Amino acid sequence: MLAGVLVINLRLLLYAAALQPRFTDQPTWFRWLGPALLIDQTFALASALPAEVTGARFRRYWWTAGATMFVGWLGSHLVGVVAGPLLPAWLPLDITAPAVLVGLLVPHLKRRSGAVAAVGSGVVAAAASTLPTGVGTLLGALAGLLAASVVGALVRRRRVAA
Amino acid sequence: MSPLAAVLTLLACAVLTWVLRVALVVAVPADRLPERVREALPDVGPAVLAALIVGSLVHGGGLLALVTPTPAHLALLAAGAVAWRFRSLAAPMGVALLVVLAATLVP
Repeated sequence: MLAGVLVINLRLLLYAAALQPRFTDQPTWFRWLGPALLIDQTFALASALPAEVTGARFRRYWWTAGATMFVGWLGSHLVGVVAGPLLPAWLPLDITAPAVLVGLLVPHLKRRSGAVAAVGSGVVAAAASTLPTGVGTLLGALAGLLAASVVGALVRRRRVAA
Repeated sequence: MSPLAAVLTLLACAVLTWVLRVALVVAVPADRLPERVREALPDVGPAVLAALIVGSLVHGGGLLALVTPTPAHLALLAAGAVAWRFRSLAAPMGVALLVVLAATLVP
């Protein structure tokens, strides 16, 4: 079970690495406790913040986003347990989770490297979707990062040559 | 599994995921990472999000499931178009729900 949890959550390492500059100049207590609220949604919100949001402003934003997600997450589960049986079975609620992720993804697609990373990741994640849970996500993400890195290097080389 | 074993397993999972969250924040400052890795960090978001979306779309069906159109494909494309235009999280969700509903109800 722990191995499964590890594989599924390895993407948290990538999130932490990407957000690390936001935590560099923070107090020690915040650097140890703040990442406890790191999930897909808080990462997406924080990575969309302007670079000027640092120090105490970032801490306020992080606690507010994390607390809102925490309360909203638990509250939504409670509402779902109570209201779920009352909802008609034909309501296609399964589509709402990926649709929210699409809403978080789309702003990143306006950068070329973000679009390359997303396409590379999506193709590999689909190809690897037959592997155990979590492995496809991890392989897809790593492939997307590699694709963006390679394309970025090619573009830079072409600029230098021009 | 006994209740005590279940609680201990949950605690172990919590500690494990917390370690994954703090390891690179506390132990390895970003300025010590190789330059190529640092350059790739802004693309972590789109890479992971795309993998999560595709994973939930294909349900273990491989590349064929990615290129075989279903109401869910159409719904997520519509959600993407709405998100591109309006930068909202509720609107893509609502549109995706409506598209799947329409595709299901229309014979």
